[in-house]
Amino acid sequence: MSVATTTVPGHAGEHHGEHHPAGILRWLTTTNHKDIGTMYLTFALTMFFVGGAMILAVRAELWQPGLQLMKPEFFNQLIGIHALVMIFAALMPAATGFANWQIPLMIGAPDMALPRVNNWGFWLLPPAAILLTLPFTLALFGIGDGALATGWTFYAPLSVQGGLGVDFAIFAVHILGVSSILGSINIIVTIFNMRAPGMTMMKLPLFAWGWLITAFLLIATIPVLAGAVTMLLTDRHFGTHFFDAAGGGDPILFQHLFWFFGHPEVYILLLPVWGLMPHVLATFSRKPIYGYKAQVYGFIGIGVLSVIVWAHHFFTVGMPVPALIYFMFSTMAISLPLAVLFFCWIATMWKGAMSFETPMLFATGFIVLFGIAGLTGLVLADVAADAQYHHSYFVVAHFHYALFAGGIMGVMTGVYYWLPKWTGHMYDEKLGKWHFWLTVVSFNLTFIPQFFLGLAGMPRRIPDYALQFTEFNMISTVAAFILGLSQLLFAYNIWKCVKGGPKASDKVWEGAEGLEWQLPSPPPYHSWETQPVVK
Amino acid sequence: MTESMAAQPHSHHYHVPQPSLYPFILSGGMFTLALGFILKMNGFAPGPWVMLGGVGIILYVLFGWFGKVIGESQAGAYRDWEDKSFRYGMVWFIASEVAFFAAFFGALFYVRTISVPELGNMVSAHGTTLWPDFTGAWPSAGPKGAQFTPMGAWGIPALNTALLLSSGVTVTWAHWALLKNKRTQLNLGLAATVLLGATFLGFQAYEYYHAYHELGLTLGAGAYGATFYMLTGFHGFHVTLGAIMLTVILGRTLKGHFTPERHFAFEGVAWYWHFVDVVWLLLFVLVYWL
Amino acid sequence: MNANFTEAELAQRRTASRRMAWLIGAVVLAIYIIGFFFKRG
Repeated sequence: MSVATTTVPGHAGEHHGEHHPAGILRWLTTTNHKDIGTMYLTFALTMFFVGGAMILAVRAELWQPGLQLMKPEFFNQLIGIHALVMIFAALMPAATGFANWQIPLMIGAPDMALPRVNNWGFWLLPPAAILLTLPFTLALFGIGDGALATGWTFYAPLSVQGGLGVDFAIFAVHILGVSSILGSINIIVTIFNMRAPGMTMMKLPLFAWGWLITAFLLIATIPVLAGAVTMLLTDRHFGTHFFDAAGGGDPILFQHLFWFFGHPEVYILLLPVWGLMPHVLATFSRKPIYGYKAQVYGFIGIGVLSVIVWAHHFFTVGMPVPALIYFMFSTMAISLPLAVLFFCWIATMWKGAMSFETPMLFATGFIVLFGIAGLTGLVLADVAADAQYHHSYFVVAHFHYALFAGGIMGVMTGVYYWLPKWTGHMYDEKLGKWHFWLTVVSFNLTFIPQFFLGLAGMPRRIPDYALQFTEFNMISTVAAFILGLSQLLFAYNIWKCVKGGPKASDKVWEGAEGLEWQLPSPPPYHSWETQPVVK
Repeated sequence: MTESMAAQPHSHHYHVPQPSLYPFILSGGMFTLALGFILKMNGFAPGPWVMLGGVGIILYVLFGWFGKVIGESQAGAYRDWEDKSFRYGMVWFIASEVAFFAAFFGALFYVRTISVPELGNMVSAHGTTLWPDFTGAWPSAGPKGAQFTPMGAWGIPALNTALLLSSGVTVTWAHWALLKNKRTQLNLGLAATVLLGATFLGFQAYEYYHAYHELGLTLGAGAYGATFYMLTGFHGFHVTLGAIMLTVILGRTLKGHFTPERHFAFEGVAWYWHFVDVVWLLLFVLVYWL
Repeated sequence: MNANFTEAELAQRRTASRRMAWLIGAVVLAIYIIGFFFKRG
């Protein structure tokens, strides 16, 4: 459907050379979408290991009941910062890195529409990451009592009463928010204004469609989060009573504001991956994408529904019954467009001449495991059932199936799929397969026990637990360490591929379709300066 | 709309700017400002000085970066294609601002229709009303809040409404002049807009002074005080930014910048000004009047 | 890997993927039906 043909050869006489400063200044000053994409992806990979190290410390503490390694306060800080780092500093930047590298190549644009703003969006991330983690270091010097200890959700009144770390996290969120909005504006403008002549919206690659809806969601919801943490800040330091019943406010107001952002955030993390999946599935099934239009409408439907279901994150807080029923049914309605996407993914493979290179392994693994996330999500969406599962390890397992198997494994799919295009080298296929199988097996061994722990009543965010939970926690901890260590293979494979390896062809994959595969591998520093014409 | 846009190949290469250090420095400035603010709020002595450093860096970048963009614009680097990017960009930036104000309007809606009435009817486990003296009627500072007099709508706020609406007219008048290349009318219209904006801000400052010293209406006056000051305060901040941007545009028109065909900066700022105007109308109705 | 397959190999893979799809479908359906015979205590 979105197969594009060109009349202008992609790279004829376009090698103007690279005009950029050498060394570190190249990266500080760059306005090039490929450089910026590389920075985003490198930053994301780095923070993936930072966030991973934090949670391995948590899993080590949970190896057996009782307190072994750390104080409960530090445990609380680790889980909250783990989440913020993984969501805002690993998954979102990885998706933005994909967007930066791929959208201009896929739509035949010479660069992103606003190149300097693009650079600003990236360079806001390291300061934000520093703000998030600095309180850990300050505490070592006796300043403050460590990082944000409320979990990533900042719930009032705990966050109103918390220490220095809350203020740091509030400003980290502000800066991350500015970065996300700048990135979103840039992506929307690029898609609307920079497409190759002849590429109508209904010929737009699905990856770009997924990101377009993501960008709309970010623009609609990130400012609401900014507003919520601003109210938190003024409640903490300037005497307002937004979340204080004595002054007519309400702590539950914070939950509404937070999850008005927080629920769409799930789709912000997933939509870029959903956009990428059909490309990979089609390539390795050697068939066109099935149901292009259905998927576009599916993205739009999920985008709209995602902003009207937020209160299912706090069913147990005490809401009127009609509100509970509304939020339950609207939440369950999301499974309809999502089922359309699943159907299209599977139908794309149906009767295909399939081969299972690493990206395809990750893509098929994604479908199965993300399916489990969807089904367990339906269980949690049920108000009556949720009264039992709320705030248990069942929820933890559910959203790790959504965000690790759905999000991170989707990112890995994209990395293996596009790395040969970016570097001009093939990655090590054998290592890639090892990485996939180790990841899938250890991921399931980490989180399947957590479903059972949750069903049995183990609460989340508690460093100690009852004796009967010991065995499952031990399995989970061992598997988590295997999962974490397997990711070193991923990093090594990327490193090896960047350094060298068998030469990748322009098309890289036999079944690949789209403008990006008409460029050389790696593409020249400036590509599509003369836009291709799509028929 | 987008279908026709992509139909024709562009006659020139898109302007991809040269490498620039400004974005990186700006990020550093924002980090410094945030760090200083955190230190100040938590009582560390260097806080205000760190903040000052951050503001200095940000101002340096604003002058440098905008100066560079204006230079590029005057040199003719931007044509229709780039112009369209800027327009789309501004539209979606304003959309994000709408969402930011929506959070505070949402909070106002919540405290007025949910939390305050609920607190008025709250019954304890023993069947007694928790706060018998508290009726839960708006305006309210909550069951334990301070005594205050709410801000009336028909004094200064009504005057301010007239001022902002007039400024919306004058900026449009200036735009018409720009389109017809009547430079005097353009300059006059812009100057009048800036003046009306500044007067608005003056009245707003007086209103705050009056509220603090005579009405007992402070930021700490419960749900009313919090929503009143955060909504009007962020609006006032946006009016300030808008007035500064209009002043810059006035400076540029006085130097002869902009043509009837190409004047994105003027329009972008005008859109922004209309946006703060609309927010004010919502404020006037929902915060002051009803 | 990045295989370039011959027409015969492609045809064989198409058949294989279709067979695998039916097999997975049958297994899922079987699990679903078997589920009806499990009673909670």
